[in-house]
Amino acid sequence: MPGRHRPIVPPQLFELIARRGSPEDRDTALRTLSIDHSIRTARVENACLAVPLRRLVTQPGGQPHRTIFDAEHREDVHATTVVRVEDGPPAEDPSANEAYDGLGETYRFYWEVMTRDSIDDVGLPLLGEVHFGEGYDNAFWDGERMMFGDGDGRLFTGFTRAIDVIAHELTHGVIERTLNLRYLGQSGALNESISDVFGSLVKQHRLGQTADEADWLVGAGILGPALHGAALRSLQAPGTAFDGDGQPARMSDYVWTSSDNGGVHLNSGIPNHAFYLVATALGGHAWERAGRIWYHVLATRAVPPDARFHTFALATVRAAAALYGRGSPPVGAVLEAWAQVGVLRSAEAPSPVVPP
Amino acid sequence: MSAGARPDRLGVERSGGFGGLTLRASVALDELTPAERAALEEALAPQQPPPAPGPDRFVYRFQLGGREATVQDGQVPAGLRPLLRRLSGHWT
Repeated sequence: MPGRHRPIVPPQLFELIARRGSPEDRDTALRTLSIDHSIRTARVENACLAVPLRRLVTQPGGQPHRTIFDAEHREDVHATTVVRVEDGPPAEDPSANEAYDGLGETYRFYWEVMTRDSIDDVGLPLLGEVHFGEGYDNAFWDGERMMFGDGDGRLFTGFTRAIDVIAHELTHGVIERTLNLRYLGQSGALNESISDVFGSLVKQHRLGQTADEADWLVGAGILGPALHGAALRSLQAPGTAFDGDGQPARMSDYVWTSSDNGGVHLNSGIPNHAFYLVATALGGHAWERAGRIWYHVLATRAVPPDARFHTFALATVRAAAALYGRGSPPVGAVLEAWAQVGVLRSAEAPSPVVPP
Repeated sequence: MSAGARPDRLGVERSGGFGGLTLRASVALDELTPAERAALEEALAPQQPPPAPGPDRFVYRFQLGGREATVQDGQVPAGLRPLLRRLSGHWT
Protein backbone atom coordinates (compact mmCIF):
# COMPACT_ATOMS: atom_id res chain seq x y z
CA MET A 1 0.00 0.00 0.00
CA PRO A 2 2.03 2.95 -1.23
CA GLY A 3 1.66 6.54 -0.09
CA ARG A 4 2.47 8.54 2.97
CA HIS A 5 -0.73 7.53 4.79
CA ARG A 6 0.32 3.91 5.08
CA PRO A 7 -0.48 2.81 8.64
CA ILE A 8 2.54 1.85 10.73
CA VAL A 9 0.67 -0.91 12.55
CA PRO A 10 -0.86 -3.41 10.16
CA PRO A 11 -4.65 -3.72 10.49
CA GLN A 12 -4.31 -7.48 11.04
CA LEU A 13 -2.62 -6.81 14.41
CA PHE A 14 -5.52 -4.64 15.58
CA GLU A 15 -7.92 -7.37 14.50
CA LEU A 16 -5.95 -9.82 16.60
CA ILE A 17 -6.09 -7.47 19.60
CA ALA A 18 -9.80 -6.88 19.05
CA ARG A 19 -10.44 -10.60 19.15
CA ARG A 20 -8.03 -11.63 21.92
CA GLY A 21 -7.06 -8.54 23.94
CA SER A 22 -8.45 -7.17 27.21
CA PRO A 23 -11.76 -5.22 27.00
CA GLU A 24 -9.91 -1.84 27.01
CA ASP A 25 -7.43 -2.98 24.38
CA ARG A 26 -10.30 -4.34 22.33
CA ASP A 27 -12.16 -1.02 22.44
CA THR A 28 -9.03 0.86 21.38
CA ALA A 29 -8.33 -1.58 18.58
CA LEU A 30 -11.89 -1.45 17.29
CA ARG A 31 -11.87 2.34 17.32
CA THR A 32 -8.55 2.41 15.48
CA LEU A 33 -9.77 -0.06 12.89
CA SER A 34 -12.91 1.99 12.40
CA ILE A 35 -10.97 5.24 12.01
CA ASP A 36 -8.49 3.64 9.65
CA HIS A 37 -11.32 2.21 7.59
CA SER A 38 -13.06 5.58 7.34
CA ILE A 39 -9.79 7.24 6.27
CA ARG A 40 -9.33 4.67 3.55
CA THR A 41 -12.94 5.06 2.48
CA ALA A 42 -12.53 8.83 2.44
CA ARG A 43 -9.44 8.47 0.26
CA VAL A 44 -11.38 6.44 -2.29
CA GLU A 45 -14.23 8.94 -2.21
CA ASN A 46 -11.77 11.80 -2.69
CA ALA A 47 -10.40 10.13 -5.78
CA CYS A 48 -13.90 9.75 -7.22
CA LEU A 49 -14.81 13.34 -6.40
CA ALA A 50 -11.53 14.84 -7.55
CA VAL A 51 -13.07 17.51 -9.75
CA PRO A 52 -15.77 18.82 -7.37
CA LEU A 53 -13.29 18.77 -4.48
CA ARG A 54 -10.83 20.74 -6.57
CA ARG A 55 -13.52 23.31 -7.00
CA LEU A 56 -14.06 23.42 -3.23
CA VAL A 57 -10.44 23.60 -2.21
CA THR A 58 -9.41 26.17 -4.82
CA GLN A 59 -11.22 29.44 -5.26
CA PRO A 60 -14.98 29.53 -5.68
CA GLY A 61 -14.61 30.90 -9.22
CA GLY A 62 -15.07 34.33 -10.68
CA GLN A 63 -11.38 35.13 -10.94
CA PRO A 64 -9.33 34.44 -14.09
CA HIS A 65 -5.73 33.27 -13.88
CA ARG A 66 -4.02 34.82 -16.87
CA THR A 67 -0.44 34.61 -18.07
CA ILE A 68 0.74 36.28 -21.25
CA PHE A 69 3.92 35.08 -22.95
CA ASP A 70 5.96 36.69 -25.71
CA ALA A 71 6.86 34.21 -28.48
CA GLU A 72 9.42 36.72 -29.80
CA HIS A 73 8.42 35.81 -33.37
CA ARG A 74 9.25 32.13 -33.04
CA GLU A 75 6.72 29.39 -33.67
CA ASP A 76 8.53 26.19 -32.85
CA VAL A 77 8.03 25.78 -29.09
CA HIS A 78 5.94 27.33 -26.33
CA ALA A 79 7.45 30.64 -25.30
CA THR A 80 8.81 30.98 -21.77
CA THR A 81 9.16 34.77 -21.59
CA VAL A 82 6.33 35.99 -19.34
CA VAL A 83 5.28 39.57 -20.03
CA ARG A 84 2.17 39.85 -17.89
CA VAL A 85 0.65 37.90 -14.99
CA GLU A 86 -2.65 38.10 -13.12
CA ASP A 87 -2.84 41.22 -10.96
CA GLY A 88 0.63 42.22 -12.15
CA PRO A 89 1.50 45.57 -13.71
CA PRO A 90 0.61 46.21 -17.36
CA ALA A 91 3.18 45.20 -19.96
CA GLU A 92 4.92 47.78 -22.12
CA ASP A 93 3.72 45.85 -25.14
CA PRO A 94 0.17 46.82 -26.25
CA SER A 95 -0.41 43.36 -27.79
CA ALA A 96 0.24 41.69 -24.44
CA ASN A 97 -2.20 44.04 -22.70
CA GLU A 98 -4.83 43.53 -25.38
CA ALA A 99 -4.53 39.75 -25.04
CA TYR A 100 -4.68 40.05 -21.23
CA ASP A 101 -7.76 42.27 -21.34
CA GLY A 102 -9.47 40.17 -24.01
CA LEU A 103 -8.98 36.97 -22.05
CA GLY A 104 -10.32 38.76 -18.97
CA GLU A 105 -13.43 40.00 -20.78
CA THR A 106 -14.06 36.53 -22.15
CA TYR A 107 -13.58 34.93 -18.75
CA ARG A 108 -15.96 37.49 -17.22
CA PHE A 109 -18.61 36.73 -19.85
CA TYR A 110 -18.49 32.99 -19.29
CA TRP A 111 -18.54 33.44 -15.51
CA GLU A 112 -21.17 36.14 -15.20
CA VAL A 113 -23.53 35.00 -17.94
CA MET A 114 -23.03 31.22 -18.11
CA THR A 115 -21.59 30.59 -14.60
CA ARG A 116 -18.71 28.80 -16.26
CA ASP A 117 -15.37 29.02 -14.46
CA SER A 118 -12.93 29.24 -17.38
CA ILE A 119 -12.40 26.80 -20.24
CA ASP A 120 -12.80 23.64 -18.17
CA ASP A 121 -15.29 25.10 -15.63
CA VAL A 122 -12.84 24.50 -12.79
CA GLY A 123 -10.68 27.57 -13.25
CA LEU A 124 -8.17 26.49 -15.89
CA PRO A 125 -5.43 29.14 -16.16
CA LEU A 126 -5.68 31.17 -19.35
CA LEU A 127 -2.42 31.26 -21.27
CA GLY A 128 -1.91 33.62 -24.20
CA GLU A 129 1.12 33.91 -26.42
CA VAL A 130 1.63 37.08 -28.47
CA HIS A 131 3.99 37.78 -31.40
CA PHE A 132 3.74 34.18 -32.54
CA GLY A 133 5.80 33.70 -35.72
CA GLU A 134 6.99 36.27 -38.21
CA GLY A 135 4.28 38.23 -39.99
CA TYR A 136 2.07 35.35 -38.93
CA ASP A 137 -1.47 35.69 -40.34
CA ASN A 138 -3.34 33.74 -37.72
CA ALA A 139 -4.57 33.19 -34.19
CA PHE A 140 -5.45 29.77 -32.84
CA TRP A 141 -6.04 27.62 -29.74
CA ASP A 142 -3.43 24.87 -29.57
CA GLY A 143 -5.09 22.86 -26.81
CA GLU A 144 -3.13 24.65 -24.08
CA ARG A 145 -2.60 28.25 -25.12
CA MET A 146 -4.11 30.94 -27.29
CA MET A 147 -1.57 31.94 -29.91
CA PHE A 148 -1.68 35.33 -31.60
CA GLY A 149 0.29 36.29 -34.70
CA ASP A 150 1.02 39.88 -35.70
CA GLY A 151 -0.33 39.55 -39.25
CA ASP A 152 1.72 40.25 -42.35
CA GLY A 153 0.40 43.81 -42.56
CA ARG A 154 -1.12 43.07 -45.94
CA LEU A 155 -3.92 40.59 -45.21
CA PHE A 156 -4.09 41.07 -41.45
CA THR A 157 -2.82 43.73 -39.07
CA GLY A 158 -2.77 41.68 -35.87
CA PHE A 159 -5.21 39.56 -33.89
CA THR A 160 -5.17 40.80 -30.30
CA ARG A 161 -7.05 44.05 -30.84
CA ALA A 162 -10.35 42.33 -31.63
CA ILE A 163 -12.18 40.99 -28.57
CA ASP A 164 -14.27 38.65 -30.73
CA VAL A 165 -11.10 37.00 -32.08
CA ILE A 166 -9.86 36.33 -28.56
CA ALA A 167 -13.26 35.08 -27.41
CA HIS A 168 -13.50 32.92 -30.56
CA GLU A 169 -10.20 31.22 -29.72
CA LEU A 170 -11.04 30.72 -26.04
CA THR A 171 -14.38 29.22 -27.08
CA HIS A 172 -12.53 26.61 -29.14
CA GLY A 173 -11.12 25.54 -25.78
CA VAL A 174 -14.60 25.43 -24.23
CA ILE A 175 -15.87 23.33 -27.16
CA GLU A 176 -12.92 20.98 -26.78
CA ARG A 177 -13.88 20.41 -23.12
CA THR A 178 -17.59 19.96 -23.83
CA LEU A 179 -18.82 18.74 -27.23
CA ASN A 180 -15.33 18.12 -28.63
CA LEU A 181 -16.71 18.57 -32.14
CA ARG A 182 -14.54 16.95 -34.80
CA TYR A 183 -12.93 19.71 -36.87
CA LEU A 184 -14.04 18.45 -40.25
CA GLY A 185 -17.09 18.94 -42.45
CA GLN A 186 -20.37 19.78 -40.72
CA SER A 187 -19.14 19.09 -37.16
CA GLY A 188 -16.14 21.30 -37.95
CA ALA A 189 -18.41 24.06 -39.27
CA LEU A 190 -20.45 23.79 -36.04
CA ASN A 191 -17.21 24.10 -34.06
CA GLU A 192 -16.38 27.25 -36.02
CA SER A 193 -19.90 28.64 -35.75
CA ILE A 194 -20.10 28.20 -31.97
CA SER A 195 -16.77 30.05 -31.68
CA ASP A 196 -18.12 32.88 -33.86
CA VAL A 197 -21.39 33.00 -31.90
CA PHE A 198 -19.69 33.29 -28.50
CA GLY A 199 -17.04 35.61 -29.94
CA SER A 200 -19.90 37.89 -31.01
CA LEU A 201 -21.71 37.54 -27.68
CA VAL A 202 -18.60 38.50 -25.70
CA LYS A 203 -18.20 41.56 -27.91
CA GLN A 204 -21.87 42.52 -27.53
CA HIS A 205 -21.70 41.91 -23.77
CA ARG A 206 -18.73 44.24 -23.44
CA LEU A 207 -20.45 46.91 -25.51
CA GLY A 208 -23.80 46.39 -23.77
CA GLN A 209 -25.53 46.00 -27.13
CA THR A 210 -28.88 44.42 -27.87
CA ALA A 211 -29.32 42.06 -30.83
CA ASP A 212 -30.69 44.95 -32.88
CA GLU A 213 -27.82 47.29 -32.02
CA ALA A 214 -25.00 44.80 -32.66
CA ASP A 215 -23.07 44.72 -35.96
CA TRP A 216 -22.87 40.89 -35.88
CA LEU A 217 -19.43 41.08 -37.52
CA VAL A 218 -16.51 38.83 -36.65
CA GLY A 219 -12.97 40.12 -37.05
CA ALA A 220 -13.76 43.80 -37.61
CA GLY A 221 -10.63 45.91 -37.33
CA ILE A 222 -8.01 43.30 -38.16
CA LEU A 223 -8.17 43.33 -41.96
CA GLY A 224 -5.16 44.66 -43.84
CA PRO A 225 -5.19 46.72 -47.05
CA ALA A 226 -5.34 43.65 -49.34
CA LEU A 227 -8.75 42.66 -47.97
CA HIS A 228 -11.61 44.98 -48.78
CA GLY A 229 -14.50 44.94 -46.36
CA ALA A 230 -15.68 45.51 -42.83
CA ALA A 231 -14.77 42.17 -41.30
CA LEU A 232 -14.18 38.48 -41.99
CA ARG A 233 -17.64 37.13 -41.32
CA SER A 234 -21.14 38.44 -40.80
CA LEU A 235 -23.72 36.46 -38.84
CA GLN A 236 -26.41 38.82 -40.04
CA ALA A 237 -25.57 38.49 -43.73
CA PRO A 238 -23.09 35.67 -44.37
CA GLY A 239 -21.13 36.18 -47.59
CA THR A 240 -21.05 39.99 -47.36
CA ALA A 241 -18.33 40.75 -44.79
CA PHE A 242 -15.57 41.40 -47.36
CA ASP A 243 -14.91 41.09 -51.10
CA GLY A 244 -14.39 37.39 -51.53
CA ASP A 245 -16.46 36.29 -48.53
CA GLY A 246 -17.89 32.96 -49.72
CA GLN A 247 -20.01 32.05 -46.71
CA PRO A 248 -23.42 30.55 -47.43
CA ALA A 249 -26.43 31.43 -45.28
CA ARG A 250 -28.60 28.50 -46.34
CA MET A 251 -28.20 24.74 -46.51
CA SER A 252 -28.94 24.75 -50.26
CA ASP A 253 -25.72 26.77 -50.74
CA TYR A 254 -23.54 24.43 -48.63
CA VAL A 255 -20.00 24.51 -50.02
CA TRP A 256 -18.34 21.20 -50.83
CA THR A 257 -14.57 21.59 -50.79
CA SER A 258 -11.53 19.71 -49.61
CA SER A 259 -9.81 22.93 -48.49
CA ASP A 260 -10.06 24.22 -44.92
CA ASN A 261 -11.03 20.80 -43.51
CA GLY A 262 -14.11 20.75 -45.69
CA GLY A 263 -14.86 24.46 -45.67
CA VAL A 264 -15.40 24.76 -41.93
CA HIS A 265 -15.00 28.56 -42.07
CA LEU A 266 -17.41 28.80 -45.00
CA ASN A 267 -20.26 26.53 -43.97
CA SER A 268 -20.25 27.95 -40.44
CA GLY A 269 -22.26 30.75 -42.10
CA ILE A 270 -25.36 28.52 -42.01
CA PRO A 271 -25.53 27.87 -38.22
CA ASN A 272 -24.18 31.41 -37.66
CA HIS A 273 -27.15 32.87 -39.46
CA ALA A 274 -29.55 30.58 -37.60
CA PHE A 275 -28.23 31.97 -34.33
CA TYR A 276 -28.61 35.54 -35.59
CA LEU A 277 -32.23 34.81 -36.56
CA VAL A 278 -33.02 33.38 -33.11
CA ALA A 279 -31.35 36.31 -31.33
CA THR A 280 -33.11 38.99 -33.35
CA ALA A 281 -36.47 37.20 -33.17
CA LEU A 282 -36.23 37.10 -29.36
CA GLY A 283 -34.82 40.64 -29.10
CA GLY A 284 -32.97 42.16 -26.18
CA HIS A 285 -29.48 41.04 -25.28
CA ALA A 286 -28.56 38.05 -27.42
CA TRP A 287 -26.65 36.39 -24.58
CA GLU A 288 -29.68 36.31 -22.31
CA ARG A 289 -31.81 33.81 -24.19
CA ALA A 290 -30.37 32.78 -27.58
CA GLY A 291 -26.88 32.50 -26.07
CA ARG A 292 -28.17 30.54 -23.10
CA ILE A 293 -29.92 28.07 -25.40
CA TRP A 294 -26.74 27.48 -27.43
CA TYR A 295 -24.65 27.21 -24.27
CA HIS A 296 -27.08 24.67 -22.80
CA VAL A 297 -26.23 22.34 -25.71
CA LEU A 298 -22.54 22.64 -24.81
CA ALA A 299 -22.92 22.37 -21.05
CA THR A 300 -25.15 19.29 -21.26
CA ARG A 301 -23.00 17.76 -24.03
CA ALA A 302 -26.18 17.25 -25.97
CA VAL A 303 -24.63 16.22 -29.30
CA PRO A 304 -21.84 13.78 -30.24
CA PRO A 305 -18.43 14.88 -31.64
CA ASP A 306 -19.46 14.05 -35.21
CA ALA A 307 -22.77 15.96 -35.00
CA ARG A 308 -24.18 17.37 -38.21
CA PHE A 309 -26.20 20.59 -38.50
CA HIS A 310 -29.50 18.74 -38.22
CA THR A 311 -28.49 17.00 -34.98
CA PHE A 312 -27.30 20.27 -33.49
CA ALA A 313 -30.46 22.08 -34.59
CA LEU A 314 -32.67 19.52 -32.84
CA ALA A 315 -30.49 19.82 -29.72
CA THR A 316 -31.05 23.60 -29.65
CA VAL A 317 -34.81 23.01 -29.90
CA ARG A 318 -34.64 20.61 -26.95
CA ALA A 319 -32.45 23.08 -25.04
CA ALA A 320 -34.97 25.88 -25.63
CA ALA A 321 -37.77 23.58 -24.44
CA ALA A 322 -35.82 22.57 -21.34
CA LEU A 323 -35.03 26.19 -20.44
CA TYR A 324 -38.25 27.95 -21.41
CA GLY A 325 -40.96 25.32 -21.81
CA ARG A 326 -42.18 23.31 -24.76
CA GLY A 327 -44.64 25.76 -26.20
CA SER A 328 -42.56 28.83 -25.38
CA PRO A 329 -41.64 31.62 -27.84
CA PRO A 330 -37.91 30.67 -27.75
CA VAL A 331 -38.77 27.16 -28.98
CA GLY A 332 -40.76 28.68 -31.85
CA ALA A 333 -37.94 31.10 -32.68
CA VAL A 334 -35.36 28.32 -32.77
CA LEU A 335 -37.52 26.11 -35.00
CA GLU A 336 -38.26 28.98 -37.33
CA ALA A 337 -34.59 30.00 -37.60
CA TRP A 338 -33.38 26.52 -38.52
CA ALA A 339 -36.22 26.22 -41.02
CA GLN A 340 -35.23 29.54 -42.61
CA VAL A 341 -31.65 28.38 -43.18
CA GLY A 342 -32.93 25.08 -44.55
CA VAL A 343 -31.61 22.78 -41.83
CA LEU A 344 -34.97 21.81 -40.34
CA ARG A 345 -38.12 21.53 -42.42
CA SER A 346 -40.99 23.71 -41.32
CA ALA A 347 -42.95 20.48 -40.98
CA GLU A 348 -40.52 19.40 -38.28
CA ALA A 349 -42.32 21.93 -36.15
CA PRO A 350 -43.15 21.79 -32.48
CA SER A 351 -43.94 18.52 -30.84
CA PRO A 352 -42.38 15.72 -32.92
CA VAL A 353 -38.81 16.97 -32.47
CA VAL A 354 -39.08 17.52 -28.72
CA PRO A 355 -38.79 14.13 -27.06
CA PRO A 356 -40.89 13.54 -23.94
CA MET B 1 -3.44 24.91 -66.11
CA SER B 2 -2.87 25.36 -62.41
CA ALA B 3 0.63 25.71 -61.05
CA GLY B 4 0.30 22.40 -59.26
CA ALA B 5 -0.25 20.50 -62.49
CA ARG B 6 2.92 21.85 -64.09
CA PRO B 7 5.88 19.59 -63.53
CA ASP B 8 8.28 22.53 -63.19
CA ARG B 9 6.35 24.50 -60.55
CA LEU B 10 5.29 23.70 -57.02
CA GLY B 11 1.78 24.92 -56.17
CA VAL B 12 0.97 25.62 -52.55
CA GLU B 13 -2.47 26.27 -51.14
CA ARG B 14 -2.96 27.73 -47.68
CA SER B 15 -6.49 27.36 -46.31
CA GLY B 16 -8.06 27.58 -42.87
CA GLY B 17 -6.75 29.79 -40.14
CA PHE B 18 -9.04 32.10 -38.16
CA GLY B 19 -9.70 34.02 -41.38
CA GLY B 20 -10.65 30.90 -43.29
CA LEU B 21 -9.11 32.33 -46.47
CA THR B 22 -8.06 29.86 -49.16
CA LEU B 23 -5.01 31.39 -50.84
CA ARG B 24 -2.44 30.14 -53.32
CA ALA B 25 1.16 30.71 -54.24
CA SER B 26 3.60 28.92 -56.50
CA VAL B 27 7.33 28.65 -56.86
CA ALA B 28 9.56 27.33 -59.65
CA LEU B 29 11.09 24.01 -58.71
CA ASP B 30 14.58 25.23 -59.58
CA GLU B 31 14.22 27.93 -56.93
CA LEU B 32 14.01 25.30 -54.20
CA THR B 33 17.15 24.39 -52.29
CA PRO B 34 18.26 20.74 -52.41
CA ALA B 35 17.10 20.37 -48.79
CA GLU B 36 13.66 21.73 -49.71
CA ARG B 37 13.46 19.38 -52.71
CA ALA B 38 14.26 16.45 -50.47
CA ALA B 39 11.73 17.50 -47.84
CA LEU B 40 9.11 18.02 -50.54
CA GLU B 41 9.67 14.56 -52.02
CA GLU B 42 9.35 13.06 -48.56
CA ALA B 43 6.12 14.97 -47.92
CA LEU B 44 4.65 13.86 -51.27
CA ALA B 45 5.33 10.18 -50.54
CA PRO B 46 2.32 8.18 -49.31
CA GLN B 47 1.71 9.06 -45.67
CA GLN B 48 -0.03 7.74 -42.62
CA PRO B 49 -3.41 9.44 -42.11
CA PRO B 50 -2.71 12.91 -40.72
CA PRO B 51 -3.54 13.67 -37.08
CA ALA B 52 -6.89 15.24 -36.23
CA PRO B 53 -6.95 18.85 -37.38
CA GLY B 54 -6.79 21.55 -34.71
CA PRO B 55 -9.15 24.53 -34.75
CA ASP B 56 -8.07 27.53 -36.80
CA ARG B 57 -4.77 25.99 -37.85
CA PHE B 58 -3.60 26.68 -41.39
CA VAL B 59 -3.82 23.74 -43.77
CA TYR B 60 -1.11 23.60 -46.43
CA ARG B 61 -1.52 21.63 -49.63
CA PHE B 62 1.58 21.07 -51.72
CA GLN B 63 0.86 20.16 -55.35
CA LEU B 64 3.41 18.99 -57.87
CA GLY B 65 2.60 17.39 -61.20
CA GLY B 66 -0.52 15.55 -60.06
CA ARG B 67 0.89 14.55 -56.70
CA GLU B 68 -0.14 16.35 -53.55
CA ALA B 69 0.37 16.39 -49.81
CA THR B 70 -1.79 18.04 -47.16
CA VAL B 71 -0.04 19.13 -43.99
CA GLN B 72 -1.40 20.99 -41.01
CA ASP B 73 0.45 24.00 -39.62
CA GLY B 74 2.55 22.84 -36.71
CA GLN B 75 3.32 19.58 -38.51
CA VAL B 76 5.11 21.02 -41.53
CA PRO B 77 8.45 19.21 -41.99
CA ALA B 78 11.36 21.39 -40.84
CA GLY B 79 12.81 21.26 -44.36
CA LEU B 80 9.75 22.99 -45.85
CA ARG B 81 9.36 25.76 -43.30
CA PRO B 82 11.91 28.10 -44.91
CA LEU B 83 9.92 27.81 -48.15
CA LEU B 84 6.69 28.79 -46.39
CA ARG B 85 8.45 31.75 -44.80
CA ARG B 86 9.54 32.86 -48.31
CA LEU B 87 5.95 32.63 -49.52
CA SER B 88 4.73 34.91 -46.70
CA GLY B 89 3.41 38.07 -48.31
CA HIS B 90 2.90 36.35 -51.69
CA TRP B 91 -0.38 34.56 -51.02
CA THR B 92 -3.14 35.57 -53.38
